[in-house]
Amino acid sequence: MWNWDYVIELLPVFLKAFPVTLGAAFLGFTLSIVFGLLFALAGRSAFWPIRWTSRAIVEFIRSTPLLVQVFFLYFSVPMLTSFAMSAFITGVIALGLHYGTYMSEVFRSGIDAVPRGQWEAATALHLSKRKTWLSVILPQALPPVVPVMGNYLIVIFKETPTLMAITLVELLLTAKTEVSASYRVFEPYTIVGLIFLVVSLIFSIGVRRLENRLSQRENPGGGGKR
Amino acid sequence: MNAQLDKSFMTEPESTLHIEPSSLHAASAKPNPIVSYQSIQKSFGDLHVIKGIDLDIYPGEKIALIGPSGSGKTTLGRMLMTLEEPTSGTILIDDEPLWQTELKGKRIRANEKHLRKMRSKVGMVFQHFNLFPHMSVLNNVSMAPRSVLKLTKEEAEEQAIMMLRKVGLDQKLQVYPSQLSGGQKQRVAIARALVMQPKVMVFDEVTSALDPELVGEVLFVIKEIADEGQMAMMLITHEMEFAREVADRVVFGADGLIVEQGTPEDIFTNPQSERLQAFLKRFL
Repeated sequence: MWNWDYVIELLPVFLKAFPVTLGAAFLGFTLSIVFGLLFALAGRSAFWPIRWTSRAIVEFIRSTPLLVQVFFLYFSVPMLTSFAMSAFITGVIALGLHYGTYMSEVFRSGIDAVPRGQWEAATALHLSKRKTWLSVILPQALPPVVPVMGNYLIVIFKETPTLMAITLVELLLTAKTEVSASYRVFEPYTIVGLIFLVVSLIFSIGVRRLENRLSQRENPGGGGKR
Repeated sequence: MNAQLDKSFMTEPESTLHIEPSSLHAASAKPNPIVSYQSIQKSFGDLHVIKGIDLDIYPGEKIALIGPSGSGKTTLGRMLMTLEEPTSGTILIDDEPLWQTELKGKRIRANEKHLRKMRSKVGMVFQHFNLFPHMSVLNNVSMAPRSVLKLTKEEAEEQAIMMLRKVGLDQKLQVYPSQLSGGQKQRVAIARALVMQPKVMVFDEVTSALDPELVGEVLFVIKEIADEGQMAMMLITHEMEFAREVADRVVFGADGLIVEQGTPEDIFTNPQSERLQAFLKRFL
């Protein structure tokens, strides 16, 4: 049932697809941080139309499946706007938007955890809104949520096979193509599963290390009431 | 004859010398108040914290606000720093309304731009210090002069070091707040507020969160700053001895109203109202 010669034959094929999967995951993750921050900040805007629009978008994206969003971006958007993107770009944007809504919740919790006294001190020093966010709030809000962000990187990585639906030649689509050529189901899918397992484990070890480093660095006191 | 001449010679310059900023409000030629609370009320939901307060603070004047907890002292200070908006009434800073602006002849609620301009005259030191934990002492004090007053890095740091020397912490420039004692943190916070050169500074129960043995060093620093004179100070405090020593005027508030005010002498040795007499008894 298990043919080692076939496995060795498959490895270079998967090696070619692996960077696509990894690239989509990392770029999607980066974009999700950008969108997440935007949603989190817009959700706190003093101007209600911005606040409501942002919340509506977040709610809408979270309430619809990623696969539907991927299809919409890949097939419907070009019809509506005559603006077409490659499968890779579409996939990265879809992952970024979808997980950006979850990431915004992570950032929100980090921002909420900054003591109110820090905002008040910034006001008492006449700092601008921009300066308050960039120099006072975000540097305190982000480090504690880095581990949670890391977990989302793993989630996004494992979600990349969704993109085979729009013909992105990532690991799973490569496996499927191999299967239909060789009629051997066992090896290709198992190898894909193993690759995901190994990379995810490496990521989570990295996240745990980061978590330890951050909790060691955390310095209590000085920030007023928590 | 000779002695008489001598006397008048002695008294003449003394009376002119006595016109210091701190006692100006007592003289007939009153300057305009730097801060004026006019029929201020404040409610938090159903809780009516301030029930109509009128209070003027004159340039350079040191006033101490004393009274039982929950009497609205802190809220009064926070309103001046724009951290709390009065439910009704007007606060003037330099004769200009803090919470309202004029638009086409109509008074409207102040926008952020107006508030920023107005609050540049006010500074505040908090009970819980509120230092920025991710910044060194030097950065804590020099960031606002750089970012708000647009000083260069060198100028801002020079100013910051000068203020830190004033509070006796210029040896701790690169230290982080978590490595400081409570008293040291509060002195950094004082330097951080001072460097912005406000015309009036609110000290909101600045020793209440400190261990008893650290209170002295902070009060000493505040006393020194008070003795420099130019800046008006609003000292919200439970330290009666300190209020007596530093304040030009002591204001006793209870249940959201000013019950009694006067010189420290009047308030502490000759209290009129029963409320104040009962309050002071607990501190003796």
